[in-house]
Amino acid sequence: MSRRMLALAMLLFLCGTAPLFAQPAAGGATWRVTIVLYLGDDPAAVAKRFAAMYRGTLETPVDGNGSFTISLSESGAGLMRRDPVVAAMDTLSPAAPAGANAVSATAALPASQRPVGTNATTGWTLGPYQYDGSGNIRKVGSDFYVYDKPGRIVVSADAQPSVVHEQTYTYDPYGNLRTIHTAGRGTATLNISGITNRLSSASDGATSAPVSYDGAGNFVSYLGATYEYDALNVMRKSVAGGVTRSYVYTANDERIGTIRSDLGKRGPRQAAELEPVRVRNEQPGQVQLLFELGTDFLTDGSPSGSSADLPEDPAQRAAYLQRSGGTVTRYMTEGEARIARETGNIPNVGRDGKLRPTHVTTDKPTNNATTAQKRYEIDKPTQRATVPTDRVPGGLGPTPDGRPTTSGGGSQAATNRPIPVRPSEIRSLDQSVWRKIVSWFL
Amino acid sequence: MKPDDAFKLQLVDNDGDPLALAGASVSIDFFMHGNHRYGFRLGPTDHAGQLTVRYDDVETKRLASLEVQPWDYKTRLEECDSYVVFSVPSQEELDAAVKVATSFNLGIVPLNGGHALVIASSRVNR
Repeated sequence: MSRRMLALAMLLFLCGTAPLFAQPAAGGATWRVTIVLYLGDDPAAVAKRFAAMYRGTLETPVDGNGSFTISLSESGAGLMRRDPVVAAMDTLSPAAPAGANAVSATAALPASQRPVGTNATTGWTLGPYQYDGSGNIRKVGSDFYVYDKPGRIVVSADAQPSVVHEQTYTYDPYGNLRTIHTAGRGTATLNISGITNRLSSASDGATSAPVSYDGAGNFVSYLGATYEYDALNVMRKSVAGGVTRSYVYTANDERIGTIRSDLGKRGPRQAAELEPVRVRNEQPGQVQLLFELGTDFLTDGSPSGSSADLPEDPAQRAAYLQRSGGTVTRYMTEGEARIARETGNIPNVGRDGKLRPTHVTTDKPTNNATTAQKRYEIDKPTQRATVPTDRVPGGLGPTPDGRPTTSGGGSQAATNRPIPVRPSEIRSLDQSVWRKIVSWFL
Repeated sequence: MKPDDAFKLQLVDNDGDPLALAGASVSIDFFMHGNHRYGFRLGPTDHAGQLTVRYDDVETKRLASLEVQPWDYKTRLEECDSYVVFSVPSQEELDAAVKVATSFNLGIVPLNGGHALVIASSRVNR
């Protein structure tokens, strides 16, 4: 349990947020919804945004009339019905009985949607959940958690039947996790660089080791463990404790499997080599692929397999899995990045709604604002969005000026359509010290 | 478009007769090698249905757009093709523009004169 606690603590540190717990899809009634689409809208992105906003699960893709099927809780349906973009909304199935759905919790969830216990599909139970006034989990059975005023976890402990595995956490004034003390096992200390606000070294009490990051800000080594990432900053591989783990994802960034060198009878393999052990047709043009990789599956929690909807065509499937078909990067300002996060699209219009070609590059992305500025002849980029090339609707074309490369040596292309993007694909660029200083005075 | 250029526009109806329609939004579009480069919304027209567009007016719009999307508006006006296209936006275009302007959090939206402009010429070339 202490390793899990440490992992949780590290996650909290890396995220720099109050504790959040995974939220599975909420059940409820199924609705047929028709939305009003505007020029430039990507119907799929709008539907996904609706699903996220009202905590529903899309059951079907959007058709040509802007209609789709979505599973929603009663409260979510009530809110969605009032959305001005919704033109029609009809129920297709009644709501599930109250309490039929096991729902994990976050502090942000209303009290009525927080879990009350763990007894759904497992043969064991932790016991009832209790919350504090801020919505943080205070107790799960006899295990308990304590938070400070800003909502950060400061104590966690198993208490069955007596307190064991108690861990306490401390933070610096900037919210970084600084120490993890495990009762009877010493204190792990995390040292933070005052210049970068990143970890500089870590000590578990007996060993001290430096921590390093790559140019994109990804955590790449810690106490002998190493981590590798792809161009989209998704972890591809880790080596820790003599075990190599390779991670496999769908194009939707859903991790569908972990191949462990110590467990897999096939050993570590690359995603492109991955073969399903069973195929089941779900919808025309799509199949459900069932993998048998080892353990640590995240999609359905099964200890022996996992699944994901992927294209039936082997070439497309390989592209989905390998995601080595290249990326498209858009360098942008904070203002455009905000729009992209909110709408789920890199806009294909200017600030006054006029269409214009959107410039992008297929070059390997850089995280340095100055490099991007010089390479692409643009001023003041502060963010970048990088997505797989096959995400660009209709593909890329030449830029209006017909120049495939800039004077700075960067390649460039353009598209007239919005590019779907996920918030996790948008990241800040490293700014020069001079620009940081200027920004302090603005 | 060169720094000294200015365009005087007059709205006309389908017969080519002057249309005295105030408050109309007019679009200007620029091209490079015949490819659409970017466009801006101008106006409104005055009570005579007229609008004068000067280089500085358009350049101000370009610089404002450059602040938000530096990659797409970096070409200067004088580097574009030597012609521009003026057009009167449809109701649908204006509705979409309102949505975009709102999402960009500008607090300023194009004037909604589209319902009356359907009788005006959809394109006014210099």
